[in-house]
Amino acid sequence: MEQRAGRRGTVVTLAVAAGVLVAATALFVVLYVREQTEISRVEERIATAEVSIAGGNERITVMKSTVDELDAERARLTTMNAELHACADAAKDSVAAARRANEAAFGAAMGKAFVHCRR
Amino acid sequence: MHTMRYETELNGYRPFVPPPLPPGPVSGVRDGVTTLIVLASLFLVSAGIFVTLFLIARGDHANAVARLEERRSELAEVDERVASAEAGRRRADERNTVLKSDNAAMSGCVKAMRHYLWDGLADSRRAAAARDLLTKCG
Repeated sequence: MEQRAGRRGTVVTLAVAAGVLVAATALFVVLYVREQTEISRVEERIATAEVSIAGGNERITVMKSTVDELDAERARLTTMNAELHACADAAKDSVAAARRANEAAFGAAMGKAFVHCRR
Repeated sequence: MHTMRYETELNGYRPFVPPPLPPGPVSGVRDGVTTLIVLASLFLVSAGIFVTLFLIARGDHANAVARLEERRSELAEVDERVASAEAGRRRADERNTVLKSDNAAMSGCVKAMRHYLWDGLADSRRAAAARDLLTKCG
């Protein structure tokens, strides 16, 4: 009789252990699946961020080349501006001198205009 | 009757007699115990496997999150650089616009002066060019 009771105790213990282990397996299956879903979500966001980074870098490259072009254009415009200024200043001086009937100043200004207003 | 039939059907073999068994209930308990041990071992293994898988996945998750953070700060940096590049482009554009309008403002006067100086004008046309010069370079 006592032996039987001991066996029953063993059976109950083993059943409980098996039950706990089933529960643990189920729990960790669920946890594992959840981690995997989280990982794929994070990976997706990483991919999105990487696409944005690539797009930003591309825009930076494009803008840099635009800025380079604008700088080249500015150099051209600046020399042109200097030339135009030299001529226009002389022309304005000559007009102002003519208005004041200042012949000496007019002559000097026209001399400058001859130099700076070449075609 | 049955014995007779066995004997005839099995061609003279003795009928099957099971070996003596220990008392029934105890044997049932032993079978149950064995089954439970096997089951518990199986579930121990499966629990171990999934605990391991979970721990690995958790590590991977942490790594992925760290990488995401890295990418995000990289993206913020890139966005900042895009903004400053955009500002630089706008500034260059503005400077060129200023130069262009300055040049355009002067070109009328310069053209008039060049026309007056170099087009070999005489008399009335020269006077007209001089008047033009007065209005455009005044």
